Amino acid sequence: MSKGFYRKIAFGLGLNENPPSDPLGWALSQLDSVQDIDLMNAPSLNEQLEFFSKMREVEDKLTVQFKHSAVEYEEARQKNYNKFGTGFYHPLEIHIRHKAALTSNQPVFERMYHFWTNHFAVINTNTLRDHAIGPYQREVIRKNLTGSFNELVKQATTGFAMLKSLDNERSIGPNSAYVRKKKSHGDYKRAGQAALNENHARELLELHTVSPNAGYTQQDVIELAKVMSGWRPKYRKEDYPDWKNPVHFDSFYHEPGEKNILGKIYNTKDSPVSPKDELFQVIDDLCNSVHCKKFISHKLCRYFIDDNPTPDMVEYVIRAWNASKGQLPAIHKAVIELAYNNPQYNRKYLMPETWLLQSAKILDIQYLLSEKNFWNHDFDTWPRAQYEISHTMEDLGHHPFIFKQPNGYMDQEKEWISPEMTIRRLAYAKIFYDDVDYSHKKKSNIKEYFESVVYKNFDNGEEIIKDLFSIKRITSDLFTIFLNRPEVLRV
Amino acid sequence: MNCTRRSFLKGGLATLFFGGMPLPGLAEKNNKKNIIVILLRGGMDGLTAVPVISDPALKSLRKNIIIENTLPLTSDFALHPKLKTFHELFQNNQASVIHATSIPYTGRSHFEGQDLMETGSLTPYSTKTGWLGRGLGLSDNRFNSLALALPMPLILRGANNNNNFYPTDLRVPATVVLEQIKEIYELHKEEDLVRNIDLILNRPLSMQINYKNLHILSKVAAKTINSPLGPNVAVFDIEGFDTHSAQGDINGKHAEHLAEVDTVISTLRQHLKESFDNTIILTVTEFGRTVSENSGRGTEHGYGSAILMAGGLIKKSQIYTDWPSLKQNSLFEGRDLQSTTDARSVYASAMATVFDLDFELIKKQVFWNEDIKDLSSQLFRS
Repeated sequence: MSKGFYRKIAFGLGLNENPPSDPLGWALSQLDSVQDIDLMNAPSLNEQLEFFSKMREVEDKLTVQFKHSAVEYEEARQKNYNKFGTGFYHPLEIHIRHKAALTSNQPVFERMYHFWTNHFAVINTNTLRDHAIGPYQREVIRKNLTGSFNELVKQATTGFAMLKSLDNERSIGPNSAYVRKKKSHGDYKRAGQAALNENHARELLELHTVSPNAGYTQQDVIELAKVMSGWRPKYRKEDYPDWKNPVHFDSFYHEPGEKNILGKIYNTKDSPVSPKDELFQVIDDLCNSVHCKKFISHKLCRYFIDDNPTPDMVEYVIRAWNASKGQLPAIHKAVIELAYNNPQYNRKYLMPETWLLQSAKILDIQYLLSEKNFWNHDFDTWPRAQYEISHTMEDLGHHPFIFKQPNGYMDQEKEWISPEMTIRRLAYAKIFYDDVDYSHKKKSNIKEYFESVVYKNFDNGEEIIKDLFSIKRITSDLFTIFLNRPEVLRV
Repeated sequence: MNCTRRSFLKGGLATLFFGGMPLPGLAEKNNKKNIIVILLRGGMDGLTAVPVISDPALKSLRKNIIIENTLPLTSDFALHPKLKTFHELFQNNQASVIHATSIPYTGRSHFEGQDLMETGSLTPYSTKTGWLGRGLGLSDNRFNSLALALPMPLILRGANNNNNFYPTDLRVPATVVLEQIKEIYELHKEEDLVRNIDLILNRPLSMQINYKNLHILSKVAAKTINSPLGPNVAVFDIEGFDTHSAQGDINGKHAEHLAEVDTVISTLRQHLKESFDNTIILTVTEFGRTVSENSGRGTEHGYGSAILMAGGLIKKSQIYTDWPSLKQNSLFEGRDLQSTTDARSVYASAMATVFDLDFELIKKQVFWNEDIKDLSSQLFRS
């Protein structure tokens, strides 16, 4: 076995951790349960939406109060943002995510969690970033990683953040009860404006399930948009979310009738389906299709093993998928087995967040604030210290809550090897040095410290140590050089 | 990071930067030709940027998002009011528009579309290099490129001398450390990483700043291009054109992003100085948007869009188009502006002009001998 295994499927072995006696068993045993994580007193989605709603209500009042002074309005608005935790909560969510990765006794599960939060990327808007993406990942994605893939897709698709970001609330069936009512009231303008929004339907096909390899057409996208019409965030009034019940299926906006998707007709007269269940029936069929299994299995192998996984690897995962009827633990385990049994694949270039977390784990870099320090905030001013982690993730080009595209971050090395990306890792390696305990880095201990890090995590430990200490360097430079070695950047 | 990072800034700019790199000579008069591509991600709406004013259908299909107060271009077309510099250049024969154009892709997916707008291919995800990268390769890599983006855009892959610039306020290690890391990379045959370290070691002063916005990125691009050994290809990356809702009229999201395009063009013009005369700036997007507005005052993914071009190598101000009309039966699939010009004809013609290469060679080597047309003489000065 390669010692790289611990980094390939987890974050490496920490300074005080001993290698497990049965590495494969250790890894596989982590995938059957969802570990409770330290939530650092973070609000739930419902609580977040309550803050957001109240923030908007105040903001609306400020618009009236300061209508004569744009400057005073801006000042008051910023104060309102501070009060409701803009710029505070998403750094808290990064802390929760990173703390789980670094301190968990199921780090393999955490890596899978990172894969799926990237797969179900929610495009960033400031509102979603601050109030919804973190809870979406924790409450929807994470909780569904020990059931079936089908169930995960159903929950991910109907989650508040996903519905909101992909505009499904704007999708209205052209023959829906809503349109019929408008017409009957003579409101032809509103009736005419109502239309399907294809955005979410397209991404459900393209990114989340079958991929374009399934050969779906524009008409399939439209038909799926019909199926999805009516699934929407719920509002109390205007755009204030109903925080107690943020998502609902409202058949008022749903397009009635048959739908034909990829050659199969849903909701026929002979076999009617309730409007709400139509989507779940379609998702089951999409998830069970060979295109979906192939697409997801390939993506998992590419993420964990190599930029160019072999057809055999993909086939191995598909077999586990079929045998388990799509149970995620079985699928995940197949990927871990492939990683374990193919140590010759050791050139996967790590994405920046994984590199950061591995660096922190193996070198015992303490960059996170404690819960107490994090909450040591007055909510009158901008949370400067708390926000620092968000800056870091943006600098590294890999912020887990700022997705610019719904396809998430690419996992191939060509995306990440550029002069600017290299600068980021060089510079941050040096910054990490500041967050390492003095007892490790004082002159008399430094070699021993690196030896204990390197020998358990790398196959060529002696070579790395010899190289590192062959030239006299100041201690911080040792961190820069070590963390930018090819063996550390890749695994 | 516990607030330690910002403390690096205390020493001021002078202490921040990489030491020991050769400075470029003072800018000499140079006649190299430049191509600057602005990637517009999300699907730029050609009918918002350059609305057709002689077709009343547009106004009736876009009641809530029609652009008022447009700037005049021709009797048939006008310009979005946020494109002020572009308008000025148009009046001076230094800007033109290709309208009703697209890459030949009708699948309406961003990811496939963006893959194809950058690779120039017909099949999504089938090509690992970009059309601009292959064009650079065809010119024996005599030229360098600079991407003003954090990841290296696909459009430039395939060339040997790509660099990128997207500054952060972080301190780069000392030269001796970088050289030691470079040796390790050489030993491990990490060619791409070796090149990156070389580029970092040799960054000119103009790139040694630690903050960014489009104005700064454009200024740095212009100054870098102007140095004698500088690149002659630059790529900008602007996102956010996917306006399914709140597309807005003169002040919406599309308007904001068009204003960004105008900032890039105006800053490039200011700082390229004489080199602007030897430059083609052109926009690239994955598709246009539906002609009709949707229920959310936005538009859906469509087909035909527009290419905005500026620079001294533009032949004359013109709206180059075989206009397909907005009549229902002329629309692509009854909903989108048709594309009557393969955008790749424009890309290939621009490369032929700037790289001084035979169009047929580019057609064959970069675009697999597909059916694209040489528009060089209609669009560009040689």
